[in-house]
Amino acid sequence: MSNLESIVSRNLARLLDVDVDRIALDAGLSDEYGLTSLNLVVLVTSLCEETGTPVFKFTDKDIANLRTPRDVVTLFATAGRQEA
Amino acid sequence: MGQIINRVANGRPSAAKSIAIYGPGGRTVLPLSELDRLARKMAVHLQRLGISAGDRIGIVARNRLEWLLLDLAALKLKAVTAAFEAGKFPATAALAERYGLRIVFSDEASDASCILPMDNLLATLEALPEDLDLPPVAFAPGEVTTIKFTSGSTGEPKGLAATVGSIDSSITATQALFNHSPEDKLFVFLPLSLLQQRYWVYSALVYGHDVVLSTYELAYYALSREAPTVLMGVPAFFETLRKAIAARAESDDPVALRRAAIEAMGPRIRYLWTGSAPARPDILRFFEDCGTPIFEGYGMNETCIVTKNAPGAHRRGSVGKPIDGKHVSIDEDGIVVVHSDFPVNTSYLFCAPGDSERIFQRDGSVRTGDLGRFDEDGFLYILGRADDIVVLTNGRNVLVRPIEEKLRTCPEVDNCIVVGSGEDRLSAILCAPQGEGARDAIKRHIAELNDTSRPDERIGMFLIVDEPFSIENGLLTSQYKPKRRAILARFADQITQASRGAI
Repeated sequence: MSNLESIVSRNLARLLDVDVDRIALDAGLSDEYGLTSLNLVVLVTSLCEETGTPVFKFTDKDIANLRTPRDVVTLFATAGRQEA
Repeated sequence: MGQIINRVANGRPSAAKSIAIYGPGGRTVLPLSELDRLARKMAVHLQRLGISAGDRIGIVARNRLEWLLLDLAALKLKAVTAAFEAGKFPATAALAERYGLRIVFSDEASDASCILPMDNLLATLEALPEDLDLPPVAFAPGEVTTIKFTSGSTGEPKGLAATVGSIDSSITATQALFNHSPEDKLFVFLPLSLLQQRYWVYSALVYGHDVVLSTYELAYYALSREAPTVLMGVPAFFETLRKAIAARAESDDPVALRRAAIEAMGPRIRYLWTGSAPARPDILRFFEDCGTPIFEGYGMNETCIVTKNAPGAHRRGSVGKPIDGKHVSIDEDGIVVVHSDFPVNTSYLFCAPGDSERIFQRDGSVRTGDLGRFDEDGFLYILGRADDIVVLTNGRNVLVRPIEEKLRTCPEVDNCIVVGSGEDRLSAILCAPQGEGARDAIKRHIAELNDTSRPDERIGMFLIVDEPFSIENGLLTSQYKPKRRAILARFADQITQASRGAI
């Protein structure tokens, strides 16, 4: 598991109050983890803080398009590459 | 009454206080005097587009500076704004036609000639000369400044034109309760298309305090950085914030919770404002445990703010006492009826025949459809919607909302409804993200609940679904309330199957 994958999994597990082993990268954020759009905002903001990614980088559509934890990993990986 | 709207339209606000705006472009801070200067320029721009008093301007956009400038400019010209929630209403020529809009400003591109993009508005304003000679305007209490839209359970949204008297009265009464002062900074992130969110900007302009306006996507980020004194939210937001604070604290220790709350909301919170939907008692208690009072209130589009808990007059579980200018009675069916010194209006616009009469009474009052009771000290309690009553085949009426609240205290349950009209017992449809994996825990929770409930209030059968109830899938209202009929229709087949293998 990449560093970013483990950061996403850990933050999501913390938000859901479940064990990190229960997080599957291809599960549905909304369907399977019951994340509301506001929960998603909190997750993305926490990840921005932990990874040092500027939160203004993402549009509302970027956030609305996140379906799985892997989508979140990809979003931050892309943002990180642009940064570098 | 404080003549709020006339002061907002004509006043010259302080340069000492400011508005901070968080949007996709980043953070912008403007002194309130600069916000007003730009609004005056926007008024000139609107005049050049041919807008004058009484014309309707549509706004379909997420929270941003230009939204506020259009709203304030419209007040300066006595034009009427029609405020549409972005994402829910597409900005189209058909929208303009249906609602009689001269022009529509949108944050999304459109080919229609009556739809104007917002993106280049600020540059356009900068190129305009200063116009210090806008003639002053004077609104009478019965005049309207804006049209809000209210989602009906069926059909097209209805319009509701808000009178100046109702806005002035609500802001003045709120100020009397909360005494927002130059020390305060109010945090607003709910859509500006909800008129009440604009109140806090009007309040800043009139009473001289700071205000923060954020998009919903940046709210959590902006909150900790701005250190507001007041946070305007809804229960769904506070539930999310609770989870985030609990996750940060990593323990139930009060000191850790308080520290985590300060990290999330900053150190200056004086109080949290919640309304629009009932807040669960455990959420209210959580924030009180974090050291931040949270004041629940009651109102609807048709009445504006009716009751509010406030410092010195706060009873958890109630929605507070009626604010100045509102008089509340409970009719013979137990339904809350609201009389206002300055009613929002006395009828809807763009509605089906009979819609207005169902809620607006001939004497000017509003029959809310909510069941309520007063305690001996005058605090109002909302018991549920009149349509929250399930009539079982034994003829017993069961108010299901309190039962639903108890079911929602089960950690595995995200949301639920209790149904059973025309049946011999109650059934629950429970949304649990873990689906069937949560069956044992839910079953235990229901068994414990049933042990302490009266026979008619026991859950006879339940269905677990893992599809969340959301606004997007049509199972929650825009106020985050479960839509009973839609949920029942969605899971009708499953509930029939489940009833064959009842618990």
